[in-house]
Amino acid sequence: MDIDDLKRAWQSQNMRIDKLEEQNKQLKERLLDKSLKSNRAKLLSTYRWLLLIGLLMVPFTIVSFSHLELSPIAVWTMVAYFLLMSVANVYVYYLIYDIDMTNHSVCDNLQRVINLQLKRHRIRIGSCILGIVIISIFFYYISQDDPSLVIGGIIGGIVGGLIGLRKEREIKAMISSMKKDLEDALSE
Amino acid sequence: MQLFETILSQYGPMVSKVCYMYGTDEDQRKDLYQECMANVWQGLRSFRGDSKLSTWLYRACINTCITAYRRNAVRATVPLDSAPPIAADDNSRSDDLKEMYRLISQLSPVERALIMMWLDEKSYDEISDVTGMPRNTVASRLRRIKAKLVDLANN
Repeated sequence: MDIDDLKRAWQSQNMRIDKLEEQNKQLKERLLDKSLKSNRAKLLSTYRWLLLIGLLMVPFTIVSFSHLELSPIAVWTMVAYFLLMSVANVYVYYLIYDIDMTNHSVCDNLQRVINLQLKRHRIRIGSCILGIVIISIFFYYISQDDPSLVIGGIIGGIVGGLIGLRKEREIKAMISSMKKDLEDALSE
Repeated sequence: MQLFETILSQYGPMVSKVCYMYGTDEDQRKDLYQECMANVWQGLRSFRGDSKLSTWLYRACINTCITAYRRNAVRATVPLDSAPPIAADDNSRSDDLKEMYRLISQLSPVERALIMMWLDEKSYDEISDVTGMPRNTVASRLRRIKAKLVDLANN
């Protein structure tokens, strides 16, 4: 098959118009009733919720932990953690918002997506490490009467950590592939 | 809404072809088509008319497909027997179509984008506009991709 055959084959394609019309009809309905959203829109919505939850955790932490009579250091460390995570979520939200599939070129879009995925990956790792430290402090205070809580916490941490590590490895592999695509695109 | 309906009716087949190039099964292609159109729907507000509508749509679809392609970790080439169920105008071309998809699926995501636009007779300037690559780079990359395809076809 030579290039001319390829071109003829490409141009001879005849999409099943009847199937497409039915698909388009359903698509229009779903877009109008907002039941269909792009992945970007869903991600923006997720981060809006994460931001709200993070901010709500600040007063919740202060109020609930004062009942437990925890050390002020533990309480304010947790508050600082939730505030830091809220700032991180705002940052990621704007990175996602900045992605425009319709107006950015392919190379530009790839670069932004790589940047977004890399930042999300690093923030997740950082938040997990910080979270482990914070939870350890928390468990130290509440487990003084009941050490079984520590054991439960450690088991939960190990299982969660293993699942998280596997997921992060997949994400790293995806980022590497995207970087390779971009290098490939930008090379002469 | 009127513009979107025009896009669906006139450019739906073009968007479908792009999605067929990046999806490996019918469900994935449908998902890609929906994702492309959802991005187009959202992006219509910012369509300034600086470029042709077909060029703008190509950019939206290729960006959507390349992003989804890596996220779905699709690595395998399209098996011959699962080539997309689209008809050729002429039945004798059906095998050519399958062969075409088999060859193009062995290219990288960006190479597929380049060759697709070339096959659709887009100018080098339009391809450069969509991809963000300099015009000369587009020309030299296309030369290499065509040579690669001929090589793959002969092997």
